[in-house]
Amino acid sequence: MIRLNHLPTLRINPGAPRSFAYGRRRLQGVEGDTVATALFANGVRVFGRSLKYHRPRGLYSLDGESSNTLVNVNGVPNVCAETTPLAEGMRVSSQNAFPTPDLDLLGFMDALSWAMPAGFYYRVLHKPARLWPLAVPVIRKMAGVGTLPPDFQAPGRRDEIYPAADLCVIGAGVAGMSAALAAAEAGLRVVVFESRPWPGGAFEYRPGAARDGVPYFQKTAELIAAVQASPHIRLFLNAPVIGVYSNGLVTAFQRGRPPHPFDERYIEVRAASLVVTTGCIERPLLFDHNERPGVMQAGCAHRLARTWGILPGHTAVFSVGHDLGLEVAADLFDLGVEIAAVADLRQDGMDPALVDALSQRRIPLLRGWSVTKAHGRNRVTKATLAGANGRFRKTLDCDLLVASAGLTPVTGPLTLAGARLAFDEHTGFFLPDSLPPRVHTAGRLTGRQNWHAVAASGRLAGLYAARDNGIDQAAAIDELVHELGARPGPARGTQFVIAPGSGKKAFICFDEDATVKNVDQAMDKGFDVPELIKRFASVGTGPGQGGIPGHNLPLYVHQSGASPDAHPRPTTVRVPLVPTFLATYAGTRLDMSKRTPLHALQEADGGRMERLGVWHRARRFSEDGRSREEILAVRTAVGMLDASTLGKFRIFGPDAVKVLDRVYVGDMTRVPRTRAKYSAMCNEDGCLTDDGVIVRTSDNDYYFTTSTGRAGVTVEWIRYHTRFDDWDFGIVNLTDAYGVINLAGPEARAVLQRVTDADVSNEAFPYMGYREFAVDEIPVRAMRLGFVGELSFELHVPASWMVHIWSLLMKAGKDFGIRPFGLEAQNTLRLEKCHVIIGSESEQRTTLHDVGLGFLWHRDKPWAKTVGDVALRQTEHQPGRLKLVGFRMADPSAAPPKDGSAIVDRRIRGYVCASRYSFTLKEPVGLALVEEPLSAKGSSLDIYENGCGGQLARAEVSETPFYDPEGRRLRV
Amino acid sequence: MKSDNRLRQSPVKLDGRPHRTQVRDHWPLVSEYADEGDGPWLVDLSHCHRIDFQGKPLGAMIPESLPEPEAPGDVRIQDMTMITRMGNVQGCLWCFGQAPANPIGFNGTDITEATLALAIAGRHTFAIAEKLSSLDLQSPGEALPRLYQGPFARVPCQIVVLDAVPGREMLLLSCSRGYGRDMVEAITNAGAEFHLRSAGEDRFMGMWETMTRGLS
Amino acid sequence: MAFTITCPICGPRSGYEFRYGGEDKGPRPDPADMTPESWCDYAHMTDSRPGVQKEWWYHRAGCGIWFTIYRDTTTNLEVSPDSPETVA
Repeated sequence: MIRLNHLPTLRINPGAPRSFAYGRRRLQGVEGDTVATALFANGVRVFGRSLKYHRPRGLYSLDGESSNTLVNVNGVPNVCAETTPLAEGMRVSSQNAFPTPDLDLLGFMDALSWAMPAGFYYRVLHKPARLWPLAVPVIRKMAGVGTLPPDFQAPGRRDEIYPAADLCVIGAGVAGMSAALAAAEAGLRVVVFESRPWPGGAFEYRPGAARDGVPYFQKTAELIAAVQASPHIRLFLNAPVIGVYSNGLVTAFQRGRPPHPFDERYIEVRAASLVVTTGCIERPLLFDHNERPGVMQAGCAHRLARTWGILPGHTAVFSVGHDLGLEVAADLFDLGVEIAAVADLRQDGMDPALVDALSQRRIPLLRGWSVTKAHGRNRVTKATLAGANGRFRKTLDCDLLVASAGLTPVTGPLTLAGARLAFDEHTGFFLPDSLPPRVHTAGRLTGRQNWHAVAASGRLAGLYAARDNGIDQAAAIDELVHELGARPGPARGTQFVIAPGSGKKAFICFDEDATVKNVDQAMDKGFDVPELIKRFASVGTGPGQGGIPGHNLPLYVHQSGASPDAHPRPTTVRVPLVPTFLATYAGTRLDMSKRTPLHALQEADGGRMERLGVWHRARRFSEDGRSREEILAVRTAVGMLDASTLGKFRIFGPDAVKVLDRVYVGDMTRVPRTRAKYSAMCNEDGCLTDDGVIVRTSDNDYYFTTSTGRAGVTVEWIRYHTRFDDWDFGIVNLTDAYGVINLAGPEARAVLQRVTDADVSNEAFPYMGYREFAVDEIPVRAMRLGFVGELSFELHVPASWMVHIWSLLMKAGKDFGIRPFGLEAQNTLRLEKCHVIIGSESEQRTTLHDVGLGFLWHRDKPWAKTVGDVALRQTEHQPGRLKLVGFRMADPSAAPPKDGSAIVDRRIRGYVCASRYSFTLKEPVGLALVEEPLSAKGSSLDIYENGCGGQLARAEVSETPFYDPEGRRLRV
Repeated sequence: MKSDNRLRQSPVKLDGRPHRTQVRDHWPLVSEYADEGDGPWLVDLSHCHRIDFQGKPLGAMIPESLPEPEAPGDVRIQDMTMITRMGNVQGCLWCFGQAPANPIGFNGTDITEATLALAIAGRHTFAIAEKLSSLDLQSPGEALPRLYQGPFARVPCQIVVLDAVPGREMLLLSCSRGYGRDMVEAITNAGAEFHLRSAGEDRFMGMWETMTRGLS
Repeated sequence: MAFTITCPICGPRSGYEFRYGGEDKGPRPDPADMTPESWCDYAHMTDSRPGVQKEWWYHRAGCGIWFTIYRDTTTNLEVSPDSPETVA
């Protein structure tokens, strides 16, 4: 197709062809085209088939208000052709049409529309339930739009951005740009979102002019240049707003430009002020076959010509209800479209200049007339027009039927911001009758259509926003208010919805294939408010998000008399305002995690790394899921565990001990200088939340450890429980400052002695001792603990020195057969000793008493108001609790039950916390939480394992610990 | 025992080919990378000493002859040291180049090992930052340098905006050491569109000097 | 719904930076005469009344302090402590 290439308003570069595939055809568009305009320019009129009835659908609007033009692009389904820029080499195909949109074999569905009344899904597809499995695949195949392959990967790069701003403007039309400029001149930082690829809005492409004679597009271009020159304005183009929330939060996303049309950048702005200048879209005129390809809105026809240089048709019939329609008819005539007639719903009130313009061009203007029916199958061939009373009719040939009843303001962002809408009789709009603080609106959205009035209202909104931010230009505001009063006010609008005598095939919602008849059916069923009818008849619930039916439905319901309301009532708007990929919300998808200083070394040693909370840790160092070699190394020689993820804290100051007494169940007034004290923290219910050791490094100065999972919340926990106390203490999170090496096994001392001059003998450094000494001149904090049940040294090493000291120890231990061990080995080793891991042997309801750690509780420190103390007192002898027990399998050759398996006795009476095969004892051992009556030594436990097929495993409550019950091996 | 040439390890590893290197206090440092470009730059400063101070009154806790930052968010700079005020009873001393002159005392805690420190500098610094943080790091109402405490790449960070003069933009970032690899990756990815490159310590020191000259 | 919470140290910030610490119930009670019921009341029960409430927040991604604000639970907007609505 030949483009009009002389127009000053074009946004294409006709000299830069872009070739793309459409089905099997090879087509050519030009730079600046959208997928929709490129297809239209190539003569494509049927873009797809509708959801239920498989009716042919074509280009109706250009901003994605309906699902008519959803296509598949490069394998991505449901791409809106209207808003997707054409890129070289794109592969475009149609959806929901078999085999092609022009020849769809399911087109017969249209004849079956009588079988699918409103509420079809609720009423018909209800019972009998056994038909569902048969019906669903058929419906799925025939209804719906695009197809998503199971292995679909959303293309494009996605990231996010958080621009800082004092004012956020939604809509970069004349009003929005004026607001932005006024605010920026006052010193505000302004962010402007515009969903189209360029600013300018409704005036950007129009050659018409106000009384000053300067064309709209020219005046708008000057405004655009000023906005682009302002250092305080950031204009995001191609950026539809998704949501507006309380506290000034606005979310949007920005589509990529060719050659990356699928890139999307999520944008979040929190600004003190908001200006909504989203303007108007057109309100559809309803008549029979009002969505035939070739029927389109006035702005669509106009922009096709003015922006993309495509004549929308050869012979046009207009049926409109606003001045914009008259303006478009005159301009399209000048561009070469034959205008058979212009029917205007209004009897009077037209702009006399436009009426003159039509008569000068000898275009017949039919006052009070409306189109009642579009003819033709895959495209419009004729239109039947009728006078107001329906008695006079005429049918005219045409291939373009421009139809729109009126304008409708885009109020979605405004209502999300908290504005309450009320029906305005003069404009026929739902307009805000009150605005929340720091929210302003201006421009065509308010009903004003005059360029100067729109611009002045925008500037005024900008000054109001400046006032919100403490820059009050009272005189300028007064002046603008005065100017605005002198400018033309909001234009009168029609409330006309549907042409007389039509309805059965008059589609109120294209996305959901809902007709006016469906709305009537819903009202017959007793639904009387638009919000409910919307649900029942599925009007406005599709991808267009109510853009097509949002205004017509309440008007129609009101005019039907079914509604109890005195005035039309709008339906509710919700986020997202435009269809948004979840991947777009996910943005950059940062998943930040921590690695210990030994991470690379552990990997190099064959460590199988796992993500545990925020950390990566080595589960094991071989293929063997049971980590046999690692376990035996610790039991018979020596092993090393990277325990760097342990929480580590310094707490100091005159009141530090009071703090410790508040959160730890033990008595912290008696922590000796050279020993590590083991203790636990509980929550207010006396339930176990954490355990660790505390050492006193000097007077009023303590160093303590927490479990890995609690490290991130310990400061918060401590400050929370002391928030009323005004105590003098400091706390520093040193978790990442020290790496921790657990050097364990009978040869641990011999290895350690090789790398330090300090005396690490049992006499000089006994069990539960704490020492500070140097290893290779590096200061190390050392504790003798015994979590794995062997002689072990827990070395806290400055993080930057971890690799060095670990390597020294590995070298020193080579002769002893030292090897790294992982969490799996540690788990078995500690299980043999029945040392609990919080979260494994405890859950939300497990108290300190339940796991047998009640001895840690110092019951006699009421002054401390210890967290959990009251509940520990109250639950100490509480019956009916689950208690921690050790068990062995009745059959020692049985496999250990899976963690979490239920312990049953006709009902569930407990569960297995952890169970592993013990290489030392040569049988499985485990820990379980069971009801108290089952906790006596020798009790039989029946274990139901997932997948056991009803075959219960038998276990017996046993003495604990299983390994080295006297604890001799820890103390050597 | 004492081994020769023992080396510490930084929590972060930057891309790029080192051009000049040195070892200081056992830290292997890159003074300059080959082909650092003309900004923006990412510099590893994790070896610089950072001391946390807590107590009342905060000024009395800091044994350096620096003026006390008066309100939370305030930053004081003198020569190669900087003090940030994090709250009513907490502050942080940063020493670039060498260790603190005086013992840190009871209320000080050396947190050099607990955190990593990076500088993002040069043009587009704030364009990179706004892709990673919703913090308003360029609020026109705030005098620089200024401390911000909040999420950067989802991680709680201390962020010191040092300079915003075009071409001299510079911010310091510190967070838990364990995030090293992911933090560098996040910044590198966000900075790719602006051609972010690794730079050596000299680059930072040079910009620091320019900035402090501007302050005095 | 979006929260902006004003931290007394860091100023207004996104609600995601904070942890909610519940309604303000005053200092810890004396443990001496606590019954299981009265303890449960203190530990778990909240008023949950619509309107302005005084509540605790922790700036976990920021300066790490606990503080109270007054918030209208029906709008999620903060209310000045001097406002007449803060008097329960």
